[in-house]
Amino acid sequence: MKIVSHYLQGIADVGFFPSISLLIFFLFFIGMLWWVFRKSNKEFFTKMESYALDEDGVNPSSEAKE
Amino acid sequence: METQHFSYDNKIVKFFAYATIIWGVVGMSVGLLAALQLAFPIFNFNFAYTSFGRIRPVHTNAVIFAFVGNGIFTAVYYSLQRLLKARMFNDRLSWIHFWGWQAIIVSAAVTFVLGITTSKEYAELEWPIDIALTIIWVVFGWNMFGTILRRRADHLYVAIWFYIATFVTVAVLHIGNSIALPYSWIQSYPVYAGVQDALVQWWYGHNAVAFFLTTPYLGLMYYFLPKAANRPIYSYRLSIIHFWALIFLYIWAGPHHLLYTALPDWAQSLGVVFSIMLLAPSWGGMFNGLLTLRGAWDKVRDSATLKFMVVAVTCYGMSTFEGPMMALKWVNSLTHYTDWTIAHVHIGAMGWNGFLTFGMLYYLFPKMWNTKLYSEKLANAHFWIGTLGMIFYALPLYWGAIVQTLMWKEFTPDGLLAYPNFLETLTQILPMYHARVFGGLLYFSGLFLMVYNLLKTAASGKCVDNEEASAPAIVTDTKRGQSEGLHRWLERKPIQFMILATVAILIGGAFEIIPTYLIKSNIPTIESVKPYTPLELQGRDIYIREGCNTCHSQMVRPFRSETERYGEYSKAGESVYNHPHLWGSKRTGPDLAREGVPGGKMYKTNVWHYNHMLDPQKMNAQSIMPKYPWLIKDKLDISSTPAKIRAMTTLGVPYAPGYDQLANDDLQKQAEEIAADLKNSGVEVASDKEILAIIAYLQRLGRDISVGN
Repeated sequence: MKIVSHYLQGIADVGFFPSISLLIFFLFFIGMLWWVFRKSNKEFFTKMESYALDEDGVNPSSEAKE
Repeated sequence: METQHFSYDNKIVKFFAYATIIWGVVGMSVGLLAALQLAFPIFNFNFAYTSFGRIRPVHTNAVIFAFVGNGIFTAVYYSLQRLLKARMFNDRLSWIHFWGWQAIIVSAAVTFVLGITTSKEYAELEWPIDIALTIIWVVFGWNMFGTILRRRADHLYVAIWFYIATFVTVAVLHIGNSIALPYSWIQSYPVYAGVQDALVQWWYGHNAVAFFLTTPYLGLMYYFLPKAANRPIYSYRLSIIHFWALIFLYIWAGPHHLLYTALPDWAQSLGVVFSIMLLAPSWGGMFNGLLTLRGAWDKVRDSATLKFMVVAVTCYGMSTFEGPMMALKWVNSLTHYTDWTIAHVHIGAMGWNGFLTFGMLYYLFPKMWNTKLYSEKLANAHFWIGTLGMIFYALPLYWGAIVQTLMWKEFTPDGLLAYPNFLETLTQILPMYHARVFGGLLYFSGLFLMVYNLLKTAASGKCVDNEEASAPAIVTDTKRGQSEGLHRWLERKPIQFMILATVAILIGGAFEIIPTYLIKSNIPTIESVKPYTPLELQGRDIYIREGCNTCHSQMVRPFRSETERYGEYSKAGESVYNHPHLWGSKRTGPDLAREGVPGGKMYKTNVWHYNHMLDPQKMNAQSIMPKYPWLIKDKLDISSTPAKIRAMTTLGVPYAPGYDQLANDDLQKQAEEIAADLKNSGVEVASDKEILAIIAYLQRLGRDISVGN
């Protein structure tokens, strides 16, 4: 087991790492935005916003499923 | 649909709540001691077990893992049952978790005061306790997932997503950063060295803040804030965006702890970019918390619980604005190594974690004991005293940090350092350290108001250990319903949810860590850099034992103000044999990376080091360094040398084959040389004392590269 490292700049095209990572996150974020702003979610979201307040055993989400 | 009857386990919640309070008192009293030691070194008591270097990890670990840790479990065990309409999966697992966690905390405190530490910030625990911690964490996860799988609620509410992310990420971080090679039944060397160790350590350290101090407390906020305000959360849509963005981004930002160090530029840039992006999801969480109170602000005036929560969320917003700002390289060049960092983390710890915990406890006690809070007035007094305490703690440190960093960087018109003596920059800000003690004392005294208030509350009611409840049985439907969105389906599928959350955090981790493993060559970049001699290695371990790296960095940044003061800036190739790295993150004293360079700016003689360790105040009356008389009295344990050399060899440090058997001969020879030099300077010391090892180590620092040049 030899785990001795030195300058990581020895890796060719190391700049690829931050660039590709930024792109991955950007695409992920855009996809998520598109998903949460779809109209069909609205009613379900409204129910879920009050979910923590539900103390009497009613399951607010089961009615929301179609 | 059949209605099922069951009971909530309140007893375990009660125990975790009591543990939170007890460890809060312990952790903060040790913090107060640490603050006193920095203001008045007499409070080190000239005693090994109470010196600052050993006390500091006791404080940080007690506050993070004992106070906040038990706070997390209080919140999880209370809210999870109610959100899932199910009792905790297994009572026995709950109690193993509870007692196991407390045992780990006690063993941590004992080992730290004994000087048994890995030196890695917030991961100071040695290997046997690390393994115990892993087991107990798995017990917690098993209990949590068992409860989730046995739930009577269809969907997982947002708080539970945060609990799941907490569980998986803390497990990944803890295991990843704690991989070490034991050389005795209690001590070990980390497998990583130098740059790699620094990167892995701060990948862990930064994300301990993210996934131990932030995500579980966001879960706590999403449950307890709506309950206390009796208002729905502001936006479920925002909570989805901010959850996924937060867990995805946080993991990348670790390198911002290493800006301008020997870490390669690409990794530093990665840390900066992601730290700045992190502002968005963090503030998304803050807005979601604060806007939950829209239309209910009048309640805040009357409720101490809500006051605590509002200030907690505001402090969260402050800290998460400050973090990205401090991650800008030019800002970091000013704030790094100063008390700005200390102030920043205390806004988080006292404000976000502390106040949210207090708010939760003020809400929980009346609820669980079926009574009213004993005194709303006392709770309000606690709120104001705590808030003032925070202000008196943080503001002087911000002020002191700016003063000190500007003094470090100031040049005269002739181009010389305006304050060449480091101590000048410290004595200038000592009044700020005194003010910090006052702030800490205020915050700490507020805690006792809460203890009294909650005990009186508990005495006036009765805690129902098993609270009866009923709920309709769950209808298991694994298929996605028509028009059921992906996330809505995902919220019904905890295992898939956990896997996706794990993928989200592993991407960032992989991008940071994998490049460090891609290096094929094992040849150090700097030929003149050689392994430590056996005596220096023993000295290095004493340096770690006494927590010297808490106050002394070993990383000269490439600024003229630093190369002027300390010497040549630090290179990555210099620390290839350093298991662990000791770059440090705070300069209460000067940097020591060039301490041993003969003729260098920082060089001191052996006898100077001897006298300085014995009595720093005799050398500099205003020094706040603890005295280390035991280093002069105690014999160096050389029985561990062969095992240490073997461990280092296994890790790739190029000692000659069979050197472990010869190491102690070399060690004694070098110790006798130093003892003879001391004798020439008028100091009689036997050659088997610990002081000689630490002198040998200090005299080695930076020497290799100067030889190379």
